[in-house]
Amino acid sequence: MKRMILLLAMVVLAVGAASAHGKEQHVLGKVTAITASSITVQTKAKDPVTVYTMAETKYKKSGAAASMKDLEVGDRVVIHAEKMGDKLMANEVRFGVVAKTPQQR
Amino acid sequence: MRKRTLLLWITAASVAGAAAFGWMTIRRGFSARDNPSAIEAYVAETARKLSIPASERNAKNPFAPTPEVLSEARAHFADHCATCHGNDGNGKTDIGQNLYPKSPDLRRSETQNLTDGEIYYIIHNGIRLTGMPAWGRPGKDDDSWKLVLFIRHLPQMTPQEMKEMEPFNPKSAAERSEEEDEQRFLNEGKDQK
Repeated sequence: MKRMILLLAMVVLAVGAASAHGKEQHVLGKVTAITASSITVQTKAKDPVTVYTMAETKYKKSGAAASMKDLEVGDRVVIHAEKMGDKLMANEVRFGVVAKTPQQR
Repeated sequence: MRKRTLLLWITAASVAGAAAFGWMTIRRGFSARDNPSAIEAYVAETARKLSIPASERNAKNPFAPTPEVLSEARAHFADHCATCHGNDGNGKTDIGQNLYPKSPDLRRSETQNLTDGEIYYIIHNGIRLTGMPAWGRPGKDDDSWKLVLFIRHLPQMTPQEMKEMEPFNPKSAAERSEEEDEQRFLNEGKDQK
Protein backbone atom coordinates (compact mmCIF):
# COMPACT_ATOMS: atom_id res chain seq x y z
CA MET A 1 0.00 0.00 0.00
CA LYS A 2 2.86 2.35 0.94
CA ARG A 3 4.50 1.67 -2.42
CA MET A 4 1.23 2.42 -4.20
CA ILE A 5 0.83 5.75 -2.38
CA LEU A 6 4.47 6.65 -3.10
CA LEU A 7 4.07 5.85 -6.80
CA LEU A 8 0.85 7.83 -6.99
CA ALA A 9 2.49 10.78 -5.24
CA MET A 10 5.40 10.64 -7.72
CA VAL A 11 2.98 10.60 -10.67
CA VAL A 12 0.99 13.55 -9.27
CA LEU A 13 4.22 15.52 -8.68
CA ALA A 14 5.37 14.66 -12.19
CA VAL A 15 2.09 16.03 -13.61
CA GLY A 16 2.55 19.27 -11.71
CA ALA A 17 6.12 19.56 -12.90
CA ALA A 18 5.18 18.80 -16.51
CA SER A 19 2.44 21.42 -16.73
CA ALA A 20 4.60 23.99 -14.92
CA HIS A 21 7.40 23.30 -17.40
CA GLY A 22 5.13 24.40 -20.27
CA LYS A 23 4.62 27.85 -18.68
CA GLU A 24 1.04 27.95 -19.89
CA GLN A 25 -0.74 31.26 -19.75
CA HIS A 26 -4.47 31.36 -19.08
CA VAL A 27 -6.32 33.98 -21.09
CA LEU A 28 -9.85 34.75 -19.85
CA GLY A 29 -12.21 37.15 -21.57
CA LYS A 30 -14.72 37.86 -24.31
CA VAL A 31 -14.02 36.98 -27.94
CA THR A 32 -13.88 40.12 -30.08
CA ALA A 33 -12.55 38.66 -33.34
CA ILE A 34 -11.98 35.29 -34.93
CA THR A 35 -9.86 34.52 -37.98
CA ALA A 36 -8.88 31.20 -39.49
CA SER A 37 -5.80 31.07 -37.30
CA SER A 38 -6.40 33.35 -34.35
CA ILE A 39 -8.79 34.39 -31.61
CA THR A 40 -8.71 37.90 -30.15
CA VAL A 41 -9.92 38.20 -26.59
CA GLN A 42 -10.85 41.27 -24.58
CA THR A 43 -9.47 40.40 -21.15
CA LYS A 44 -10.63 41.70 -17.79
CA ALA A 45 -7.61 44.00 -17.79
CA LYS A 46 -9.10 45.52 -20.97
CA ASP A 47 -6.05 44.60 -23.03
CA PRO A 48 -7.00 42.76 -26.21
CA VAL A 49 -4.93 39.60 -26.53
CA THR A 50 -4.56 37.64 -29.75
CA VAL A 51 -3.98 33.93 -29.38
CA TYR A 52 -3.03 31.85 -32.40
CA THR A 53 -4.49 28.41 -33.02
CA MET A 54 -2.68 25.29 -34.20
CA ALA A 55 -3.74 21.97 -35.66
CA GLU A 56 -3.23 20.46 -32.18
CA THR A 57 -5.43 23.06 -30.42
CA LYS A 58 -8.26 21.36 -28.54
CA TYR A 59 -11.68 22.97 -28.28
CA LYS A 60 -14.24 22.25 -25.58
CA LYS A 61 -17.75 23.65 -25.55
CA SER A 62 -19.60 23.05 -22.27
CA GLY A 63 -17.09 20.33 -21.43
CA ALA A 64 -17.57 18.38 -24.67
CA ALA A 65 -15.21 18.20 -27.63
CA ALA A 66 -15.93 20.98 -30.15
CA SER A 67 -14.25 22.84 -32.99
CA MET A 68 -13.30 26.44 -33.75
CA LYS A 69 -16.47 26.76 -35.84
CA ASP A 70 -18.51 26.47 -32.63
CA LEU A 71 -16.87 29.58 -31.19
CA GLU A 72 -18.56 32.94 -31.80
CA VAL A 73 -17.69 36.59 -31.28
CA GLY A 74 -19.07 37.61 -27.89
CA ASP A 75 -18.47 34.20 -26.27
CA ARG A 76 -16.71 34.07 -22.94
CA VAL A 77 -13.61 32.02 -23.38
CA VAL A 78 -10.78 30.47 -21.35
CA ILE A 79 -7.66 29.78 -23.40
CA HIS A 80 -4.64 27.86 -22.14
CA ALA A 81 -1.78 29.03 -24.29
CA GLU A 82 1.96 28.75 -24.55
CA LYS A 83 4.38 31.46 -25.64
CA MET A 84 6.29 30.46 -28.77
CA GLY A 85 8.60 33.21 -29.90
CA ASP A 86 6.53 36.39 -29.64
CA LYS A 87 3.21 34.61 -30.22
CA LEU A 88 0.76 33.01 -27.84
CA MET A 89 -0.25 29.60 -29.20
CA ALA A 90 -3.46 27.99 -27.92
CA ASN A 91 -3.27 24.50 -26.47
CA GLU A 92 -6.88 24.44 -25.31
CA VAL A 93 -9.86 26.73 -25.88
CA ARG A 94 -12.83 26.32 -23.54
CA PHE A 95 -16.16 28.06 -23.83
CA GLY A 96 -19.84 27.54 -23.01
CA VAL A 97 -21.54 26.94 -19.69
CA VAL A 98 -20.30 23.93 -17.75
CA ALA A 99 -22.55 22.11 -15.32
CA LYS A 100 -20.72 20.99 -12.19
CA THR A 101 -20.49 17.21 -11.98
CA PRO A 102 -21.71 15.85 -8.65
CA GLN A 103 -18.66 13.56 -8.29
CA GLN A 104 -16.19 16.43 -8.84
CA ARG A 105 -13.50 16.14 -6.17
CA MET B 1 45.22 -19.60 -44.22
CA ARG B 2 43.57 -17.25 -46.71
CA LYS B 3 40.19 -18.02 -45.15
CA ARG B 4 41.53 -17.25 -41.69
CA THR B 5 42.93 -13.89 -42.84
CA LEU B 6 39.64 -12.99 -44.50
CA LEU B 7 37.75 -13.89 -41.32
CA LEU B 8 40.12 -11.73 -39.29
CA TRP B 9 39.60 -8.80 -41.63
CA ILE B 10 35.81 -9.19 -41.47
CA THR B 11 35.90 -9.37 -37.67
CA ALA B 12 38.18 -6.33 -37.45
CA ALA B 13 35.96 -4.37 -39.86
CA SER B 14 32.85 -5.32 -37.86
CA VAL B 15 34.44 -4.28 -34.56
CA ALA B 16 35.66 -1.00 -36.11
CA GLY B 17 32.20 -0.36 -37.59
CA ALA B 18 30.49 -1.06 -34.27
CA ALA B 19 32.99 1.17 -32.44
CA ALA B 20 32.45 4.00 -34.95
CA PHE B 21 28.66 3.64 -34.66
CA GLY B 22 28.91 3.61 -30.86
CA TRP B 23 31.19 6.67 -30.83
CA MET B 24 28.88 8.60 -33.16
CA THR B 25 25.83 7.64 -31.08
CA ILE B 26 27.48 8.76 -27.85
CA ARG B 27 28.72 12.01 -29.46
CA ARG B 28 25.21 12.74 -30.75
CA GLY B 29 23.81 12.30 -27.23
CA PHE B 30 20.78 10.45 -25.95
CA SER B 31 17.32 11.93 -25.73
CA ALA B 32 14.09 10.37 -24.51
CA ARG B 33 12.41 12.36 -27.32
CA ASP B 34 13.71 9.88 -29.88
CA ASN B 35 11.88 6.74 -30.90
CA PRO B 36 13.63 3.45 -30.15
CA SER B 37 15.42 2.00 -33.17
CA ALA B 38 13.97 -1.08 -34.85
CA ILE B 39 16.63 -3.24 -33.20
CA GLU B 40 15.88 -1.84 -29.74
CA ALA B 41 12.14 -2.31 -30.26
CA TYR B 42 12.61 -5.88 -31.46
CA VAL B 43 14.91 -6.82 -28.58
CA ALA B 44 12.63 -5.17 -25.99
CA GLU B 45 9.46 -6.79 -27.35
CA THR B 46 11.10 -10.20 -27.53
CA ALA B 47 12.47 -9.85 -23.99
CA ARG B 48 9.04 -8.82 -22.73
CA LYS B 49 7.36 -11.79 -24.43
CA LEU B 50 9.93 -14.20 -23.04
CA SER B 51 9.62 -12.72 -19.56
CA ILE B 52 5.94 -13.66 -19.23
CA PRO B 53 5.61 -17.27 -18.06
CA ALA B 54 3.23 -19.42 -20.13
CA SER B 55 0.98 -20.08 -17.12
CA GLU B 56 0.54 -16.31 -16.64
CA ARG B 57 0.06 -15.70 -20.36
CA ASN B 58 -2.86 -18.12 -20.49
CA ALA B 59 -4.43 -17.00 -17.20
CA LYS B 60 -8.16 -16.26 -17.41
CA ASN B 61 -9.74 -13.07 -16.14
CA PRO B 62 -11.80 -13.91 -13.02
CA PHE B 63 -14.11 -10.93 -13.70
CA ALA B 64 -16.78 -10.37 -16.34
CA PRO B 65 -17.15 -6.98 -18.07
CA THR B 66 -20.30 -5.92 -16.18
CA PRO B 67 -21.24 -2.21 -16.17
CA GLU B 68 -20.25 -2.01 -12.46
CA VAL B 69 -16.82 -3.53 -13.00
CA LEU B 70 -16.16 -1.35 -16.07
CA SER B 71 -17.26 1.79 -14.22
CA GLU B 72 -14.92 0.99 -11.31
CA ALA B 73 -12.02 0.24 -13.67
CA ARG B 74 -12.71 3.42 -15.68
CA ALA B 75 -12.34 5.59 -12.54
CA HIS B 76 -9.22 3.63 -11.54
CA PHE B 77 -7.69 4.09 -15.01
CA ALA B 78 -8.45 7.84 -14.96
CA ASP B 79 -6.81 8.17 -11.55
CA HIS B 80 -3.75 5.93 -12.00
CA CYS B 81 -3.06 5.38 -15.73
CA ALA B 82 -4.39 8.37 -17.70
CA THR B 83 -1.49 10.66 -16.74
CA CYS B 84 0.67 8.72 -19.20
CA HIS B 85 -1.87 6.83 -21.33
CA GLY B 86 -4.67 9.45 -21.61
CA ASN B 87 -8.31 8.78 -20.72
CA ASP B 88 -8.92 7.18 -24.11
CA GLY B 89 -5.66 5.20 -23.98
CA ASN B 90 -4.10 6.90 -27.02
CA GLY B 91 -0.92 7.79 -25.08
CA LYS B 92 -0.89 11.36 -26.39
CA THR B 93 -0.09 13.05 -23.08
CA ASP B 94 2.77 15.34 -22.06
CA ILE B 95 4.46 12.57 -20.11
CA GLY B 96 3.44 9.64 -22.34
CA GLN B 97 4.91 11.20 -25.47
CA ASN B 98 8.22 12.03 -23.80
CA LEU B 99 8.90 8.64 -22.24
CA TYR B 100 11.37 6.24 -23.81
CA PRO B 101 9.75 4.25 -25.27
CA LYS B 102 6.62 6.41 -25.67
CA SER B 103 3.31 5.27 -24.17
CA PRO B 104 1.68 3.04 -26.77
CA ASP B 105 -1.82 3.56 -28.14
CA LEU B 106 -3.61 0.91 -26.07
CA ARG B 107 -6.48 0.75 -28.57
CA ARG B 108 -4.25 -0.60 -31.32
CA SER B 109 -3.64 -4.22 -32.22
CA GLU B 110 -0.17 -4.28 -30.58
CA THR B 111 -1.96 -4.15 -27.21
CA GLN B 112 -5.39 -5.55 -28.10
CA ASN B 113 -3.83 -8.71 -29.59
CA LEU B 114 -2.10 -9.55 -26.30
CA THR B 115 -3.85 -12.15 -24.16
CA ASP B 116 -5.71 -11.07 -21.00
CA GLY B 117 -2.97 -12.77 -19.02
CA GLU B 118 -0.24 -10.81 -20.79
CA ILE B 119 -1.97 -7.47 -20.21
CA TYR B 120 -2.55 -8.37 -16.56
CA TYR B 121 1.10 -9.39 -16.16
CA ILE B 122 2.31 -6.09 -17.63
CA ILE B 123 0.08 -4.03 -15.31
CA HIS B 124 0.91 -6.12 -12.23
CA ASN B 125 4.67 -6.44 -12.85
CA GLY B 126 5.47 -3.38 -14.94
CA ILE B 127 8.08 -3.39 -17.70
CA ARG B 128 11.72 -2.95 -16.75
CA LEU B 129 13.67 -0.03 -18.26
CA THR B 130 10.48 1.72 -19.38
CA GLY B 131 8.11 4.19 -17.69
CA MET B 132 5.67 1.38 -16.84
CA PRO B 133 5.73 0.64 -13.10
CA ALA B 134 4.37 -2.46 -11.36
CA TRP B 135 0.97 -1.72 -9.84
CA GLY B 136 -0.82 -3.23 -6.85
CA ARG B 137 0.47 -5.48 -4.12
CA PRO B 138 2.37 -8.69 -4.85
CA GLY B 139 0.03 -11.66 -5.15
CA LYS B 140 -3.63 -11.57 -6.13
CA ASP B 141 -4.56 -8.26 -7.71
CA ASP B 142 -8.24 -7.85 -8.57
CA ASP B 143 -7.87 -4.21 -9.60
CA SER B 144 -5.40 -5.08 -12.37
CA TRP B 145 -7.74 -7.77 -13.74
CA LYS B 146 -10.54 -5.19 -13.84
CA LEU B 147 -8.20 -2.80 -15.68
CA VAL B 148 -7.66 -5.52 -18.30
CA LEU B 149 -11.42 -5.42 -19.01
CA PHE B 150 -11.33 -1.65 -19.31
CA ILE B 151 -8.36 -1.77 -21.70
CA ARG B 152 -10.37 -4.21 -23.86
CA HIS B 153 -13.18 -1.64 -23.81
CA LEU B 154 -10.98 1.32 -24.86
CA PRO B 155 -11.64 1.00 -28.64
CA GLN B 156 -15.38 1.45 -27.94
CA MET B 157 -15.10 4.43 -25.56
CA THR B 158 -17.88 7.02 -25.86
CA PRO B 159 -17.52 10.82 -25.37
CA GLN B 160 -19.81 10.50 -22.33
CA GLU B 161 -17.47 7.97 -20.73
CA MET B 162 -14.51 10.25 -21.45
CA LYS B 163 -16.31 13.12 -19.71
CA GLU B 164 -17.09 10.95 -16.69
CA MET B 165 -13.39 10.18 -16.29
CA GLU B 166 -12.20 13.79 -16.06
CA PRO B 167 -13.08 14.38 -12.38
CA PHE B 168 -10.91 11.38 -11.48
CA ASN B 169 -7.77 12.64 -13.27
CA PRO B 170 -5.07 13.60 -10.74
CA LYS B 171 -4.78 17.35 -10.20
CA SER B 172 -3.17 19.53 -7.55
CA ALA B 173 -5.33 21.64 -5.22
CA ALA B 174 -4.10 24.77 -7.03
CA GLU B 175 -5.09 23.38 -10.44
CA ARG B 176 -8.55 22.42 -9.17
CA SER B 177 -9.05 25.86 -7.65
CA GLU B 178 -7.98 27.55 -10.90
CA GLU B 179 -10.26 25.26 -12.88
CA GLU B 180 -13.20 26.20 -10.63
CA ASP B 181 -12.45 29.92 -11.09
CA GLU B 182 -12.38 29.48 -14.86
CA GLN B 183 -15.59 27.46 -14.80
CA ARG B 184 -17.26 30.20 -12.73
CA PHE B 185 -16.05 32.81 -15.24
CA LEU B 186 -17.59 30.87 -18.14
CA ASN B 187 -20.85 30.24 -16.28
CA GLU B 188 -21.22 33.91 -15.33
CA GLY B 189 -21.44 34.77 -18.99
CA LYS B 190 -24.53 32.60 -19.50
CA ASP B 191 -26.95 35.52 -19.86
CA GLN B 192 -24.52 38.26 -20.81
CA LYS B 193 -23.89 37.45 -24.45
